Amino acid sequence: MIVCPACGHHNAEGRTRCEICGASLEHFLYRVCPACGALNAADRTFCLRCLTNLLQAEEEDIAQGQAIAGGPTAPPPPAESAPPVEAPLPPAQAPSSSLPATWEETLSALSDLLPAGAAQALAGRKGAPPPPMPSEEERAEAALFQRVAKEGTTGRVPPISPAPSAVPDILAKGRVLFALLLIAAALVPLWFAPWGEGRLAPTSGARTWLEALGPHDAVLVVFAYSPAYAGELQPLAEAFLHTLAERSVRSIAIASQPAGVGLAKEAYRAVEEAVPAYAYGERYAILGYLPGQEAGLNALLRGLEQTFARDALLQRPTAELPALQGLSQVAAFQGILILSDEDTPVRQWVEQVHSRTGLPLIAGVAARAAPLLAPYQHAGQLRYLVAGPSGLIEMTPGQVDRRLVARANGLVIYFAIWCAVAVVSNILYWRERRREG
Amino acid sequence: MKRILPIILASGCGLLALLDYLIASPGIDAIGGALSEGVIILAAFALILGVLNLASVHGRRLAAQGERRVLSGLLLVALVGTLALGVVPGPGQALAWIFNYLYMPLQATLTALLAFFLMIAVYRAFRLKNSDAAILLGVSLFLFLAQLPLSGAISPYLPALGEWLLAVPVTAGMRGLLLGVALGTMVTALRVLLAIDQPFRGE
Repeated sequence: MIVCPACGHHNAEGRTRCEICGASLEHFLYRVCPACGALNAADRTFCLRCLTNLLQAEEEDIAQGQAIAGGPTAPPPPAESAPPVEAPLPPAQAPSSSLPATWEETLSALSDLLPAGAAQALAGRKGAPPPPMPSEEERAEAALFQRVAKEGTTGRVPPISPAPSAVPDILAKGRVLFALLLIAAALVPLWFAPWGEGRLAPTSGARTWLEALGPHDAVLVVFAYSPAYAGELQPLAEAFLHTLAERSVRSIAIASQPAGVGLAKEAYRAVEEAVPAYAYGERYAILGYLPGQEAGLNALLRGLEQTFARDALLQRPTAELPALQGLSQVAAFQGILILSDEDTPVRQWVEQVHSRTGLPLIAGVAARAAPLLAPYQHAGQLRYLVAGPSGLIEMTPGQVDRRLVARANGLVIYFAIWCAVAVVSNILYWRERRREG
Repeated sequence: MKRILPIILASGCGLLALLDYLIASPGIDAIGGALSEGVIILAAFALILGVLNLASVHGRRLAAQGERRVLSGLLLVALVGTLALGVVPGPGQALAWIFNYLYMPLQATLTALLAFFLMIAVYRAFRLKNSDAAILLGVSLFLFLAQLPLSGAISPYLPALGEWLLAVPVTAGMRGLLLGVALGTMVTALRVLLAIDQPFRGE
C-alpha cells in the first residue's frame, strides 16, 4: 500500500501516481503497518515499530480483499500436501499464543479465507523459502523507535551512545559556533551605534504624520485582519480612523480578508458616532473585499474604479461617490494604512505597491507580527510600524480606553499564571528526578 | 499534447506576468492586467466553489441520515439564512448582528484557546532539563515581562532592553530568514517557469 503524500489516499502497490489526485508517488513510497499503523519506508520488510512482517501482512491483506470481493469460497486445497517448513516467526510476534507458530500454519490458516483461485496461487508458494528474519540492525532500530515513541513527558531517557560520525569535530560543535555568531550579531551594532539608537522608531511618528494631513488629503485603509484578532486590532483601527476623522481626511477602505468588510463597517460606525460630520460617501467609503493577494494588488494598481465598480455599503458606482473624487489611482493617495494580524499582507503591500508607487506605508499590526516586519521598517519600506498595546497607547494619547485597561490587566494575570505553570512544572520535574535518583 | 499544453500555458502566463513587471509596454500591460483580473475572478470563484462544495457534502450527509445529520442540518440552515440576510437589500442590521454577536465572538473564542495551548507548551518545554531549556525559559520570561505595562515601573531599562532584543538580534535573524525566503521564491519561480516543477500537474 502506498499512501499519497498529497491527499492521503491509500493506493495499491506498484502505482506510480495516486489513483485519486494523480500526484507522483515515486519518491513517497510507504508501507503502512496493518498491526500498529506506523509508516515505514517502502523497502522495509519489517515494521519499524512492532517488527511485523510487512510483506506477509500485505499478502494477507490482498488475499482477504480478494476473498471478500470473490463471494462464496471454494473448499481450500489440502494443506497436508505441502512440505513442512520449520521457520519460527520473528521474536516480536512469538509471545502471542493466538498467532500461528510457523509459516506453514500461517499459510494454512490464510488459505481457509481464500477463494479457490487465490488459495491455489498461494498454495503454489508453499514451497518457497521462509520469510526473512529481521536483522540485528532492524531490531535495534525498532527498539529505539519504541523507546522514543513511549518516551513520557517527565521520564528521563537513558543516554544513547552516538554513532561514530564522519563530520569534522569543528562542525559537530556547530551549535557553539552558532551561539557565538548570534552573540556577535547582537554586539556588533552596539559598536557602531550607541545604546538605544538601534531601537525601533517611536510609534508617535505615525500619529504626527497623520495629524499633518488635511481635508484635501486621502488615505487608503486596508483591513487585513480576521475577527479573531479584532480584540487587539479593532481599538487600534478606531484610533487611526478617529485621528483621520478629526482632521476630515478622506479615507477609502478595502479588505483583503472576506470578513474585513464587516470589521471596517464596525470601526467606521464607532468613529462616525464620535465624529458625526465624518459621513459615509462624503468623507469615507468602503469599497469591498479584494481577493487574489498579489494579483489583486497588481490589478488595484491599474485603477480603483476598474477593480471596484461599486462600493460595498450603498452599491453606488464608485465614480459617483464624492469621497472618491480624484482618487481613481492608488498613487493619488497620500499614504496607505494597513491593519493586519500577520506580516504577509504587509509584505505584499511593500513588494507590490510601495515598490512601484513609493507611497508611505503605515502598518498597524498585532504585537506578534512586529518583529517579523522590523526589517522592512529599518529599510525604510515601512514608514511607521505601530504594534501592540504600546502602539495603541501612543495612538490614543490622554485617553483611558477601558479595553486597553482590561487588556493590560489580562496580560498581567496571564503572565502570573504563566510563571506559576513554569514553576510548578519544574518543581514536579525535579521531584521526579530526585525520586529516580 | 496533453502534457505539453499545460506547460506552455503555465510558463507563458508566468513569463507574461513577469514581463509586465519589467517592461513598460501597452500591449504587455494589457495582457498582464487581464491575467491579474483573471486571478481575482478565479479567487472569488474559488470562494463560491467552496460554499457549493460545503453545501454538497453536508447535503449528502443529511440525506444519508448519518450520525451527525443534525449538525449538518444546522450548518446548512445557518449558511442559507446568512446568505439570504446578506442578499436582501436594506440596512443589513440582522447581518451586522450575526457578524458582531456570533461570528466575531466565536472566532475570538477559538483564538483564545491558544492561551491554554501555550500553557501546555509552557508546562512541557520550560523544564530545566538542560542549558537550551534554561535559555528558552530565560528569554521568554524576559520578553514577556518587557511587554507588560508594568515593566517600566519595575525598571526603566526593562522596556528598552526588550525593544533592543527585538530590534537587533530578532531583526538580524528575521532579515536572514527573509533573504532566504526571497532566494527560495526566486528559485521556485524559475523552476516553474522552466517547467522543472509542474505543481499544476501534481508533480
